[in-house]
Amino acid sequence: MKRNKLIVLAITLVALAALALAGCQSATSGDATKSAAKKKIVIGTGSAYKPYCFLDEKNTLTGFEVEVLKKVNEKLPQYEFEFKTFDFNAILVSLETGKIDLAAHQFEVNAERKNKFLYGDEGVTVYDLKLVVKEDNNDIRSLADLAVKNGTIEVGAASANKTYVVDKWNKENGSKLKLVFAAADTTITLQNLDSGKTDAFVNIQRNVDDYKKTYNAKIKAVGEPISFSNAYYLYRKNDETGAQLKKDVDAVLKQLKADGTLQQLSQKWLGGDYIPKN
Amino acid sequence: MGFQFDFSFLLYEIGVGIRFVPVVLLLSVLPLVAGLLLGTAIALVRLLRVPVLAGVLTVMVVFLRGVPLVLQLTILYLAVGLSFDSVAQFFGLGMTSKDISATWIALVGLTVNATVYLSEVMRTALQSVGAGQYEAAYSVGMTTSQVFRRIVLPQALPVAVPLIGNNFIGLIKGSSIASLISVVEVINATLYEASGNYKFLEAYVAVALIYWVLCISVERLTALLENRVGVYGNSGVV
Amino acid sequence: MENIFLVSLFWDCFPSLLSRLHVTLAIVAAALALGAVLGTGVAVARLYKIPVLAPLAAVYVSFIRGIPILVLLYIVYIGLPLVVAGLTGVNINRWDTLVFVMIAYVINVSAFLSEIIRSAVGGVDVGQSEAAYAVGMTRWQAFRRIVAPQAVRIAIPALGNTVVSLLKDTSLAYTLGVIDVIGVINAISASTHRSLEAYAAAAIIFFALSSLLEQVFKRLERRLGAKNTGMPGQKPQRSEIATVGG
Repeated sequence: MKRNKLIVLAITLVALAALALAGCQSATSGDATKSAAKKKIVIGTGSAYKPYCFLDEKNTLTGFEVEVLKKVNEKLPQYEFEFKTFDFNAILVSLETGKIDLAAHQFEVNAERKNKFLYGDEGVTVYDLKLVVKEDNNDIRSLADLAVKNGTIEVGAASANKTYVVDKWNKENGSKLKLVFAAADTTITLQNLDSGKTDAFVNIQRNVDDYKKTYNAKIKAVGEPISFSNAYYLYRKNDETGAQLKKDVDAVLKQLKADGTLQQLSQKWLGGDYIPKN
Repeated sequence: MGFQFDFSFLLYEIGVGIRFVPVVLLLSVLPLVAGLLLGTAIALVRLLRVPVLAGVLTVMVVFLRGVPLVLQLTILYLAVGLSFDSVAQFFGLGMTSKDISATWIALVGLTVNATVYLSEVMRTALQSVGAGQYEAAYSVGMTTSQVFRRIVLPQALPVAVPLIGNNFIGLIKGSSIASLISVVEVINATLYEASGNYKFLEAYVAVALIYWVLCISVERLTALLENRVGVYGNSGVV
Repeated sequence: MENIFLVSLFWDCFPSLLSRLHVTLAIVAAALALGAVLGTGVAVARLYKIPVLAPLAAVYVSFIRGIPILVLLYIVYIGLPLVVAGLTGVNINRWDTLVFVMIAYVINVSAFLSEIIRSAVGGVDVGQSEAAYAVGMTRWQAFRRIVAPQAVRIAIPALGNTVVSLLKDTSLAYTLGVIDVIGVINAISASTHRSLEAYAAAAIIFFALSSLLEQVFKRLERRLGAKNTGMPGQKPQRSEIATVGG
């Protein structure tokens, strides 16, 4: 009797597991059968970078990156885009290993990345990084100012361009800065700056403006940008799908820039026109 | 697919990671020692059924055992950042949250965690000594400290040592969660090195090897200690 | 101190967090069911000292138990497709992230379960098997009728601990971007600009779940008349007492 119950329990668990596995299988294969002729393209993005890629109240993925790519897909009926969310550090590795075909998370260019990945020709947004300090701080206007004070600076995730840029600068200039990885979320970043735990962090002007408004943060972006770059979509290098996809997406982006669709989306999601002219 | 596992980078990352082993040891040994002391105190309070205090501690132990470490650390990290300044001001402490680094927060969080689990270990260990033993010891005229030193400890230790060893290993592995609140330990240190070239797999494999060696060493150490304290075990002869 | 904790927001967090509970539970269920199968295999290899397999199993258990789940998750996610592609040429990269997360927890749990099975079977007195053989039972009969029921009884407390730790360990699945109870916190904080409340709500949910599981196992223990605890001088099993790290 007792043993029978255990067996029943075990079978229930196996069934549950099978269901769970089948559940996530069908979530992906469902769309595939619907449009067998279309080539499925998996897009890797994040789920926690508002307003670029985030989950809305109903837990559906949306944001600038997502909506732009949906528009792009409308013009490319031969493809079917499927969005998958990742932890930021996992996106580029996923692209490299072939888990996804296109990476979209406001990726800037840097030398190391360019070595490893194929960049689109069309920039999606302007993404110049600036140093951000407390509103009443008038001493720090550059990384060099910060280095003199042996300051602490918060960078991004391990695979973020800002981490790369600051780390590289620091190593070339005597390693006086103390780097801190971004923890948890924006609240912490702002709080750490406010309490003096960090002396500066790195971000783009429009995010700083947004933080001032939504978080009521007493901060300012200072000095010349520490990195000039647009944000691009990334594709796999030495890969046929990647090369073709890049060509197709670039062509549509060009078109969407010319007819003002991208500028419109930028206004809607980012609160201004941040589409690069190039 | 274009993916190549880079063994030379793996070796390089092992070198980087090893330099941060002291941080892992700091984050595990200190909580272990503090947790043993505090945990024993809690175990005694609960075993002796100290009014009120025993109840409060039991609730605390039961609650904290049910909450994942990552949540405990994150909540502590957030709460310190949000409230420490006002609390410090209230108590007139000459500190601000600026002075509390993430490492300190991780240390406190891991210590709380260790205390909770080790209090259970010590409770089990002390309970394993039968009540008759105490009575017998007192009846032959031993003082309380004598009872503990000569009767209770020799019997409780063989029970406790392997469990403490297990918790030490748990703490070593648990310290990895400190990386999520930006403490630079083995994981974050190796990830920094990979931030330019995205060789995260190599970084993580290096981290895994380092942790493995650490855990095996602790296991061996515990086994040795077990043999030492086991002499006073149930085998009857010394 | 007015804005440190918004109680109303704390309550509002529960529906969104609970709406992803099925993902957390699916990970636990898959890990337990498949982990039990794999763990039994590993335990059998070691118990019966199968050549080649036994030492491999020992290294496997030692390695998996010696690395943090945070690290294992990432290694499985990136490394497993490489290994599979190298061995079989099959590309499993396109599997859902959740599948990789499940596999990571299956691997993790299998190592712990194999140890529990091993020590539970080892905990049954050899005399019991000998007596069974003496009355003419076959090896299989002796195992099924005599050893297994006793081993299950010995294993229950440790099993309970492993299941509760597993549940708590799933709180790290979000690091690969799985949107489970913890993963959804990011979404909440993106729209509310606060996160302490959501983390606190998640803590309550995990506490409730682990208490529930603990109760279930306590009841199971009583039902199966698990070995009497609290006997003076009786040495508890290693894995019977919960350990830090979950």
